[in-house]
Amino acid sequence: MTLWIGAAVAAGVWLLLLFSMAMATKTPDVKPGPATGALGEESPALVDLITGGWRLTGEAASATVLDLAAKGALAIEEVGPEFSLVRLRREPGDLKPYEKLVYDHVRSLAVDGVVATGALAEGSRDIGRWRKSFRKKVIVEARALGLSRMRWSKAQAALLWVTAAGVAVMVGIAAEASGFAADTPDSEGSPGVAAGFFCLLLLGGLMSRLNGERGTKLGAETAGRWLGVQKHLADTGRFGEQPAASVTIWGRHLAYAAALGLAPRAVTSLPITTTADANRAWSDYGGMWHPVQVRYRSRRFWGRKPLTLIGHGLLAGMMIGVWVFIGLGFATAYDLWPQALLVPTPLLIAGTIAAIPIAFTIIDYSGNTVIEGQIVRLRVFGESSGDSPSNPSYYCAIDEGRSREVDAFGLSAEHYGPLSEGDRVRAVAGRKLGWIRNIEVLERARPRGTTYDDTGEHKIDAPEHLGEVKVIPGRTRNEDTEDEGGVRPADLVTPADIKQALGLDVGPAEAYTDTPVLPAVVRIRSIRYRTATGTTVDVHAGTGRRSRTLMVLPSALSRAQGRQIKGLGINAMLHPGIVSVVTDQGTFMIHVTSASGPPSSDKMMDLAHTAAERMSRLPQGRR
Amino acid sequence: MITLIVVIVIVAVLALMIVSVYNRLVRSRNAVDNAWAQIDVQLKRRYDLIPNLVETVKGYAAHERQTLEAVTAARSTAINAQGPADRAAAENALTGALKNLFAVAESYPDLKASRNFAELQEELATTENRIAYSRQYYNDAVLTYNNAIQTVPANIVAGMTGFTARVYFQAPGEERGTVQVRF
Repeated sequence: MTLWIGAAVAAGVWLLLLFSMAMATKTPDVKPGPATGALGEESPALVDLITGGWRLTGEAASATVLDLAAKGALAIEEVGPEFSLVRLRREPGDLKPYEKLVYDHVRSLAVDGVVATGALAEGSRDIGRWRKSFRKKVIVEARALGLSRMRWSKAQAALLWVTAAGVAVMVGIAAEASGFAADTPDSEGSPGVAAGFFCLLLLGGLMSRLNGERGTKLGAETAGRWLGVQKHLADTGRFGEQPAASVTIWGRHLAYAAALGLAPRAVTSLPITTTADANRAWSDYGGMWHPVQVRYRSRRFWGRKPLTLIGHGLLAGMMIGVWVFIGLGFATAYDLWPQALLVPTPLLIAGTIAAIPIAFTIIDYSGNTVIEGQIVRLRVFGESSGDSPSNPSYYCAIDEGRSREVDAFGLSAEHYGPLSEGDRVRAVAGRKLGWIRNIEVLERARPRGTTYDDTGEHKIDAPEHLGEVKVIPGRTRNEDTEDEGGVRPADLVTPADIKQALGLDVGPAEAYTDTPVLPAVVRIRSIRYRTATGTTVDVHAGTGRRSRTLMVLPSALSRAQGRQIKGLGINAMLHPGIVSVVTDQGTFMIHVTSASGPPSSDKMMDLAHTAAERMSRLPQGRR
Repeated sequence: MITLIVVIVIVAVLALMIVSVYNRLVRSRNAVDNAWAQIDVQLKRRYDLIPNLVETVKGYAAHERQTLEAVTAARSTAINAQGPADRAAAENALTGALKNLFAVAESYPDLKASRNFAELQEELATTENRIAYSRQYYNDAVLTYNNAIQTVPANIVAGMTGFTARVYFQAPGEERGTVQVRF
């Protein structure tokens, strides 16, 4: 009991320490300044940060689009009710990193220099990573201008962690020494360690919740001045009703109004940080952006394999037939239904229901319906939410250019894996049952919103509570390290393989001298191949379970959503320009960086297959 | 008594349905009108640019009278055209005349180097692009509206209240689709 009291007191003292540090490091009070129409030097994204309690909102990116339009790098043109175009204008010149991120995204989507505003949500980027990248870039600038800083310094954070560890140790000792040990068999491990670990996690979580970005004195003064601008804009301009295209008239005032929360209509029409809607897609098939409504029909008689649907139809017919028979039995007992029809009626109903999918199957298979168009949506739905739904159903919606409403067809996982939104395809499908029997990619999607130049910013420590990705700088390593075990990347991918798969002439393997992709403890070997034009092919490989950490890097490096590849190793993921594969022998990742964009998926997969096969044939000593 | 109540309820529900359908058709029709107004704005923009273009070209290639007159005549025809189908045909003819004009301009290096000409050319290309998108939007709105007034049961209300089908903005014989014009 004494130990528990001691642990409780220690926890209380730690909480007091945390609270006092939080109070000491909170942002200075922001006093709104007098109303003024004079705009400052800070960009709308910065203004969004400092006037929003040092938390960036979704308006910041939309405000940046408006600001780029006001400065002439883009143009927003209204061509219909709630339908506007974003047009690339002159070369943007020097842009700030977050402005470049936004501009590059618009440029990646543009067809003939134009993208519909609604289509800003499209593209293959990883939206979560994109938002994080945008936020970090804004914070870098805010810190450089002295407007913002991390809440706790390294020393303060270290003090909190060390004291939290002390509390966790006391809790662990108390748990170990108390009756827990008596009740827990030895084979289940130490309850004290578990209790201490849990306590540390809890305290660390609490500390992280209070951590984040905070304002400096200068930042608070600047925020106050901008709140005065907000008051002036709110009193004098009716920005709430203005569409995005009115930036032609209002200029930068509209961009700042958006950042200050005064232009919701303009912000809503620029969904640059919004996840693409599963039901409303934008397609550029045919050369012009247009909206396409995607319907996901009920899976009762749609989107499944024909045999499955026939089985379901038989089962449904049988069950309904039984219930109808029971119901009619009661009706017959009260002379409400003729006795002679008691059996034939449910048989007829059951037969009709069972015959529907059979008839549809015959119709679908008797004619070869070919659908040619562009994939606008690929979705996986399952019985549980999350990244890996159980019993997943795969859907593919194809815009044929003939209708603004399309039905999403069902297809198998094997067909779904290699597809990307934006691919031009030819599919053999049944329009009655909605099942794609075969699909062929005619032309791969052009890269959209893929790799963003993010050197430098992602190394800053700018946590927004838990879950931030930090790249840990470390010493460089020679790829010929003679430590035991491991796999040599040069044995997996040779210049001849790169030439065959990617068509690139590379020199001999060089040591990888960039910042190591993972800490030394993970024991990954890396090499680089280089072409005369500057294209690089990095190969990273390792053995053991830790090497599987390579699988999480491609998302961070490419800032895009990857897709799983079936039939390659135990697990394989393909991102734009990056393929990572886990095999029984180890894990490897191949990263191609080129000024002209990433290679096509087919080429990356060819190279990955070669490397995987070579990994399986490595001599035993090299594994 | 009960029969009367049932009849009143049925009539009330029917009336509500009719009002709801009517309002939907009105909104759909207004969307078409609005979309047409947007096309009009872009077309007028093009009409305003053409005289300046003709004068600029005349300064360098005065003897290309036939081509210049064709452009001027096509512009007049387009301005005076009535109705979406006629107007689409006239606009297509004007686009063709402009393409000929720009093709002729290729033979005059001084004209091609003229900043005014280059700006006009870019502005016209941008306007063509906006017209294409406005046209697409208008045709989509017309499709939605025509579907609404021709499908059961809205066609009953449409017939009673005078809603008629609208014409697409496309020349007779032209497929209803995107037309990319590049100079």
